[in-house]
Amino acid sequence: MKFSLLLNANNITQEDSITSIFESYDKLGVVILVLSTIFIGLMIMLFLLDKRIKKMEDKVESKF
Amino acid sequence: MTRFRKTITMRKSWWKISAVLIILYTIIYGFINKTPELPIIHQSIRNLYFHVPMWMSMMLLFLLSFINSLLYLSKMNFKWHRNAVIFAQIGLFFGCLGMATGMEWATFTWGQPWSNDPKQTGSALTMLIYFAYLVLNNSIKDPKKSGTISAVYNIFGFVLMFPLIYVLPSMTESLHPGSGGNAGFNLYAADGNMRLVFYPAVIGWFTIGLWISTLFIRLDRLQNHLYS
Repeated sequence: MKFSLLLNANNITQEDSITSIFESYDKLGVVILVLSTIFIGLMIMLFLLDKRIKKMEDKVESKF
Repeated sequence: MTRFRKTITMRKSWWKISAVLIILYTIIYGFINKTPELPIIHQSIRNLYFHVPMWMSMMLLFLLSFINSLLYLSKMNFKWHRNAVIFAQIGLFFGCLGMATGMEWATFTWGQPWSNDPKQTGSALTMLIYFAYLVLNNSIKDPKKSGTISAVYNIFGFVLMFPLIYVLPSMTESLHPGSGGNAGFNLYAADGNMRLVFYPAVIGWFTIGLWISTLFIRLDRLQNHLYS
């Protein structure tokens, strides 16, 4: 089935859910803030893991 | 300072911080920039900044895995095989993210998360092939045998990915943009605004994938060094 045909066939109501987020800056701000916070949190965890591995590497280097 | 000197680029922070900043830019600017107003797809078009970069990152990581398997077969150094497995694992993680973002997008545009679309099925098969690669790698006890058989399988798996994701869906009717005669993302992203976010997103997510892979590679080298 072609994409355009499918779109007509499925009577989509996406406008109500996603588009409404972009109607007000408040909602959009919250979405951006939540996504950025989750991402930054995950990246901080990765940086901490990286630091820990670095420490372990240095420790092993100094031993051998 | 001998053994871990080789990992010095992996230990540097500038490229990791750059990747994080690039992704932050794509999250913030990706939500506030102007996008083409297309029917049905509407604002969900912004998922292009997340869904496609995930698949591209997966494919690039699988490419690295493929190169490492080739290196293992030519040099028979086991570190290449371990690297290949790690790149495949992280590639699969990105594949799962690509699948999740795609199914979410399909719910809004196609009406359901899974519609047995040839491209969806091809992607699922590709992921199954790579899951099988990990199972195969763990199922053979002899490390040399396991390395060689897994490396050969990995090479076949990587080559199979292209007919499954690109060739077969383009030969049949498909719901997916860019397949089965549908307009591709070139048309959607014809707007310069979208390209400003899309390309950095691909670079950023791939670099994050590379970073995660290097963490596992470094851990693996440490383990190997301590237990050898």
